[in-house]
Amino acid sequence: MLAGAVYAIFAATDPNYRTQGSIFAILEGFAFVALLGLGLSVTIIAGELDLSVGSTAAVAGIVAVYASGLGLLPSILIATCGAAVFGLLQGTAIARLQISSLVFTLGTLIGLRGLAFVIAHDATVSVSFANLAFSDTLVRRYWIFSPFSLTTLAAFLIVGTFLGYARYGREVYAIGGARNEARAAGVSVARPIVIAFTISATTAGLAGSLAALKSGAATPDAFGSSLLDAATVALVGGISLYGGRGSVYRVILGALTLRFLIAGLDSRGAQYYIESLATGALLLGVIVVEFAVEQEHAWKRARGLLAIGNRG
Amino acid sequence: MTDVPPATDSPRVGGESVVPPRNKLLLLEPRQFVPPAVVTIAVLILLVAGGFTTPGFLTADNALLIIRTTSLTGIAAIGMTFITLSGAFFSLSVEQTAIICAIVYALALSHGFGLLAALLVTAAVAVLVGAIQGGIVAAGINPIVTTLGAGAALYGLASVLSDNQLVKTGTSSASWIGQGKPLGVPTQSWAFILLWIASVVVLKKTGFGRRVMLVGANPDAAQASGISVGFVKFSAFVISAGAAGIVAVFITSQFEQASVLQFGDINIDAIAAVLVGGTALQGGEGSTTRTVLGALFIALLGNYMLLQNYGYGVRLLVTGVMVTGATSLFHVLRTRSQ
Repeated sequence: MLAGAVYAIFAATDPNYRTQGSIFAILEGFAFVALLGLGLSVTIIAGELDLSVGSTAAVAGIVAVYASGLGLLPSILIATCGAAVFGLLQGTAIARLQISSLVFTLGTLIGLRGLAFVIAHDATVSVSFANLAFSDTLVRRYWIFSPFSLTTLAAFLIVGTFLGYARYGREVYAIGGARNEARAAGVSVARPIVIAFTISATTAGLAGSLAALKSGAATPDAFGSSLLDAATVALVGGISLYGGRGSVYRVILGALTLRFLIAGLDSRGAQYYIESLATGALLLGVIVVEFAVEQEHAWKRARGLLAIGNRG
Repeated sequence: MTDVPPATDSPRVGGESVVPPRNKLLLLEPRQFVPPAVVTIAVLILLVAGGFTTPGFLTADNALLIIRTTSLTGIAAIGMTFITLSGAFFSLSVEQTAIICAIVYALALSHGFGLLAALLVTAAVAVLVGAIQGGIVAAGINPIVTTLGAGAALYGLASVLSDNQLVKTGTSSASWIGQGKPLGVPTQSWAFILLWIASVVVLKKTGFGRRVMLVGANPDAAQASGISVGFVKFSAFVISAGAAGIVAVFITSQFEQASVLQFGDINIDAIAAVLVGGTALQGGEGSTTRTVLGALFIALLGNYMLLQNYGYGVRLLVTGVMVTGATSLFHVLRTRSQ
């Protein structure tokens, strides 16, 4: 809904904005941040928060570039599987230690960033000239889509279906919305946590490796602001910070909204730091509005109960 | 107003009385010495190991460098400690708060404001920034996401204000703040020590300080005894923003310029100092003394690695491992002893 509004505002005022080419460009930018937002939102739904998604993507990008000699698909697989293993370990540690995911992923956020610098030897890592043909494959255009954005949409379908229909997926919702009740009901708390963090790391790894291979290079300081973008995307997409609520499909809308906003600002010639201002303001705006709406609902419910009490 | 029972490290029922007799209060709860002991031992080990293996580690010049680095991170970390103790986890916007304070301060000076006026304006900006974030968190919204968004907005705002350029103060009237060395000790370190002492006094001896600890340890009990949990968290954010502002003034005065590209690692270092020092993330347990020890340790470690020629990446990696390791360790120790 908000996405539609933002798009309308920009489309109406800028003729360049509406062309098919620009939609393609928007979807391209959208793919990365949407994928990251997808993973992050799974951890938010579970009542946790994975702060390390940006750093995971950076490491995955570097690994993918290093492995690019093996071919497009293998290098993506290697990087993504590596990220998945990391997510598995991280989730297991958080679940076993019963430690706050905030502090744990803060540590891995820092540590992985350091790892990125270490394995990249503090430099930009480029795909060797012979293998640059990868980029072409990844940016090939199918109408308004590309392999990158199509992969993203596929990931959404997979995760969305899993969360919506699989028992292990429903568990993620359960421990997020009402953890004590879930535990009392016999739901395993450890398993959904492990699953959630594995998903968030895997999507981050996938996004990082795709982005790096597409541009042909990876830098260790990449995706520094991606946590912010992913959080904005998730929250604009209606994932509730209180956990246990929200549909990952709406994260697509959240990502589209953000990209429309940024692309619109860009096409007006805004400086890059305006993006920071806009994203931050959007994030703040969304959480304040969500909170106000929550309060309004709570008010209404309380009044409803009071009314019932008075009647009887 | 009823006097609040002073908070202990863990106001648990079941076996112990919730309010210990007053004369036992500040003394011997052995558990509360564990984190500071661990960090102190770590600092000593580092000093000894570093002294033996690295020439130049134990020199006076190096000591001065370490003290200067510790002081600025330490000031920010002391402010952060208030946020953590009150149960609001941490703030991801200290870096950007410092940036915008630095820009405002430099702009004020360069436009001919007197030093006092510039300081007042900067203080006002810091308080405002802290108040807005504190207000949002006080209303009940997640502090991490709030400061994440606020930080980005502040960065953009600071860029707009400075037109993404370097802002020179254009005057040396403030350089004594940044470069002075009363009695041979840098001004930043004086400020650090004074703020440390002040924070310890506030947290242990004032009603406000005890309210901070209680709100972090047991917000429901605090709310029930009439304390405004929201106001305490709000104040913590204002304090942290103030600390960031102080750091900004020091750096800007020292180098007589400000830009949005500064303070890159201060967030991470401040949070790391708090957590490695042993203050509990959930709040209600810890102290600024622990944070000071943590800041010292982080600075020593960073200095040691620098002298050993380890690159930026390794230092980040080690910091990250430290944070994860230390907090996991303290968490396990904490939960095991219950």
